[in-house]
Amino acid sequence: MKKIKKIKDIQIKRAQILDLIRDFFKKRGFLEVQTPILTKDISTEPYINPFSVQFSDDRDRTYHGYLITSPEYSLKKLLAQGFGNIFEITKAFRQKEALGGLHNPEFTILEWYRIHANYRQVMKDTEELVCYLVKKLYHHLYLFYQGKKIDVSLPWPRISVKQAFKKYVQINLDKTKNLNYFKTIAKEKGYRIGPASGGVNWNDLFYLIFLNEIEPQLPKDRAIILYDYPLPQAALAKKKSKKSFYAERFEVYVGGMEIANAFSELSDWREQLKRLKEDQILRKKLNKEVIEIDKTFIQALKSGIPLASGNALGIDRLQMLLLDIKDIDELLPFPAKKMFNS
Amino acid sequence: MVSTSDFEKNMVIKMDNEPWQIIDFQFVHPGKGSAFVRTTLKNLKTNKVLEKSFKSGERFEEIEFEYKKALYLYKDRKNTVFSLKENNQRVSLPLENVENEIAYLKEQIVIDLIYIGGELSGLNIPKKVALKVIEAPPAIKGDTVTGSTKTVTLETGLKVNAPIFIKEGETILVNTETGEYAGRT
Repeated sequence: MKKIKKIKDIQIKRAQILDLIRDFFKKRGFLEVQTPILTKDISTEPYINPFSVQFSDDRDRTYHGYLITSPEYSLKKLLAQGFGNIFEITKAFRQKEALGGLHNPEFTILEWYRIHANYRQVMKDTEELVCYLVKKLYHHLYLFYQGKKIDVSLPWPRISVKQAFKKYVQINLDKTKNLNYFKTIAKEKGYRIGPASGGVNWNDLFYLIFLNEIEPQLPKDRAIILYDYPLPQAALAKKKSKKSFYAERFEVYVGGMEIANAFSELSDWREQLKRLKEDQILRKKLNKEVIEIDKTFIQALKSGIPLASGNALGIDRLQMLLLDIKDIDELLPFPAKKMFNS
Repeated sequence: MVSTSDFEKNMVIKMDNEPWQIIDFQFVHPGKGSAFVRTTLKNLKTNKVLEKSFKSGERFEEIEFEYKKALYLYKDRKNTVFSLKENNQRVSLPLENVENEIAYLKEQIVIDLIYIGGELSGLNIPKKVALKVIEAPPAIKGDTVTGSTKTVTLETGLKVNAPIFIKEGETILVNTETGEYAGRT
């Protein structure tokens, strides 16, 4: 009985958090929209693995589609149709990821888009949203997560990815444009980058160093914003300037947990098409299904979308932080790990 | 060879020619690159614990190991001496191999010795051990501030900070990872 009560208490709190998120955006004039979870086309991102779906109609005609990995494309299509500030709370699906821990194949995602804005304004939205939730739930501006106190008061510390590499590992990220240089540094640091590790690309080197040496040094007692990611790390984000190696993307870490990924949206359809084609090439190289480019998405960009910036935030992770829950399986009433392994 | 997808808790892998036991692991999927496995490892020779993230798919040599229950007998100037439970055979580990554990080893305690490839290579100290307090300064009257501590000496000679209410002759628990007081028995 005690266990059932605990699960019920958690679900009550989760509902309260969802209500608060809706309040937050509605008070700021955002329109809540609902876009499809089952779509014909999907993001081509090489390292995100969608669920492919087949279904048929009353005449037995079969169709092929996907479960969304995020509502991003649909929301941008709405921006192209003239929608203003919008947000959506929906389900998204990704496979080839862990069951349990910080991942569940089906998860709840919040995305919002602010028009005539860049990522700095979305940073502000994010900080204010988290502050608003913590304040409403606890009447103060800190929370306790797994025995550690996390201060969420404003403003949050902000550090650029370039600064982080310089500060924590003394690497000039500009120079890593040269892949061989990056490889040499990683080798000198003792990382195994030979065939035993399956070969490495730029992103692998980035993460090896980031996860082993930078992330552990990021402050755990604060919510922080890491911003301006190098281009290989920012497929849908706008470059800082025409020739820059960095794009306007940021991530949010609260108590060391990554909860959100945001950027100034790329609105140049030619550049977008070029990057999607590069994704396809990489997918092929990785022996993954080559996903068709969503033509209506490119069409939408072509017809013009306003300058906009958006954020994708994992609601389950945010709820875990707010409710001091370590494993997503304790948050969800029916975790996939339990359902599919029993 | 084992790949990161074969990782299991307690498995021992070879890294830089040392045996490392997997204490915990979690897959991370940054979404903008391959998956990684955040792993907590313990060096079975030195008991040093560290966190490392490996690219998913990386391969390692697996090391076969076994635990053998043994009774801790005594230490001399060079070695710690144990008696194996299975056959009462006496075995010893050099002091420098148990530098960090010696402060928690009480004579006649039963622990797990670690054998790698048939050779004794270290010992597995429990996360918490119970030790008797042999010296504790009396609590100062009027010192009622909650959370105040004092230094007590335990039967192995180890000194820890304990709450002021702990008395001589009591047995307390000590966390062997942090060396800190972990409660009364």
